[in-house]
Amino acid sequence: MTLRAATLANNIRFGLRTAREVIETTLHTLKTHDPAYGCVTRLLSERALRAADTIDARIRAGEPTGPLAGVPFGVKDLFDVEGIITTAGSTVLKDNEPAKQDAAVIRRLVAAGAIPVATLNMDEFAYGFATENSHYGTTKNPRDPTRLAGGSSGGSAAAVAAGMLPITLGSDTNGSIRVPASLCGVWGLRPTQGRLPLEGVYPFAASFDTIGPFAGTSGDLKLAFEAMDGRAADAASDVGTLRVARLGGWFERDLASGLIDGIERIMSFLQSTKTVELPEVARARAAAFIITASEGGNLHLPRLRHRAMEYDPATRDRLMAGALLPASPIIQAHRLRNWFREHLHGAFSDADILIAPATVGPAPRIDQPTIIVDGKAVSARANLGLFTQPLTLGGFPILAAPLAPMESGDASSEAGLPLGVQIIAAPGQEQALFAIGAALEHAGLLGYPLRGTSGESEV
Amino acid sequence: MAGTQSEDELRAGVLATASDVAVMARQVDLLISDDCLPGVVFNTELLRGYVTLVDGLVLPDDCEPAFGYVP
Repeated sequence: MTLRAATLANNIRFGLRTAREVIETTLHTLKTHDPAYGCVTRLLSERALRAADTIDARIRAGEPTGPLAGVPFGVKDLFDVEGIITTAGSTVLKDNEPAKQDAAVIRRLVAAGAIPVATLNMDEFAYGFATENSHYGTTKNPRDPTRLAGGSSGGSAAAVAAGMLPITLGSDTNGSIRVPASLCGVWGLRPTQGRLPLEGVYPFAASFDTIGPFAGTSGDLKLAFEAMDGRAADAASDVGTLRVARLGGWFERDLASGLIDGIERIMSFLQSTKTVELPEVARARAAAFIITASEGGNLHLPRLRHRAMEYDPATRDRLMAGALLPASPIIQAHRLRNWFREHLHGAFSDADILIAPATVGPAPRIDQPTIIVDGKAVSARANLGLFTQPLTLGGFPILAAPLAPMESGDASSEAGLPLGVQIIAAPGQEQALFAIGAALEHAGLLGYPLRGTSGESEV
Repeated sequence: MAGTQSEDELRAGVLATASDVAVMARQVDLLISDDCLPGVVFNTELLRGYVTLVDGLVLPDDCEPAFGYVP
């Protein structure tokens, strides 16, 4: 079965397959293949089959069904799904009322014909880069199940990488779409902050919370985003007119050789040698840490006073420390955010697109506690966001794109694992990201083959 | 001063942070159990490093906080 959303929707609309066939196959695939990866937390079988029958009936009646007719999708377990409890990857919320309606973006996808089939694993309350969850297990990377999928939207990225779902939804506060997309070799989008509605999405750090899609191709990602955006697509950008620069300094440190080569190939294809250096990136990252910890800590403080031991210990201790931060550094971090945002806008006076790595290298092994940064062994999990967190501060739209695998003489265990880049545009310029992503995918520089559920490459 | 801290210095630093954590926790009516304390102390020390970084940048007086509230 092809897993491209666009192809699936066309096949269903034109009667080559029924939505019920597609959903039954998808549910079977999730039941039989997911135990190897641990992406799925709940299947929505009854609802999905009912929705498929509705789509099929509409097609038989000649009624419009939408651009994603019958396309299955999964959602990170912090999106409200009508009739079930939103867990946010925790058991702390287990006594909450079931959601009365779907999250706003799920309603938009459903209106476009898509069908939610599963909720997906995440770090508890989205506070992590690993998707190691003491309640629901660790999500394994489908490219190498001994490695992390990344997080916090790890179940969403891995479900696409494993070829189980064509589209999934995640959230990105400090890199939680960009990191797992890169480690799993799929496409992800952190849209302009505030562009997509957060209604029905469990919060983490309100200053940075953003939601977005994952997909196996840039075309499917665009299709999903446009349905989630709920308005007519902006005019497509002419790639030839876009001024491109790479981010230097902080963003050139300790890169895996495959990332250095991949970014150089992209810059060469786009005929640019321009490098832009942002100021005070370490402080920008520190500000993101402080704002996230304090807002997350404040959000959970009432429960931490009485039910602390029900939390995942790692999440709990981070949230508690965040709740104790005094006001002055939090306000200073917010002032620094304004200052950094101005400099980021300044970078876009000479460029339309900025390119940076998403992580320093491929997915760490699950049993690997450290990675090397500046020649020192540092926590692998805390530093997976080294390149995503500073850019979080600006709130600009960022496409996470997988580099195409290249032949190399590297015989190490990391050879051939996915590596990803961040492609950044000015606020509201998502179409420029899709245009450049599609051009680089067409040129064979971006895009990592998905694993079909039969084990064969399908896209 | 650059150099490696002795074990005694490290222990003293951790104990001082633990004492600070207890005071700060009282201010927000949070009881931190012995099970949680080592992890909270570790994360507090991590955050202190970030606080030092953001405090180290002198910003102009007219640089306002980037709070998102728009009435």
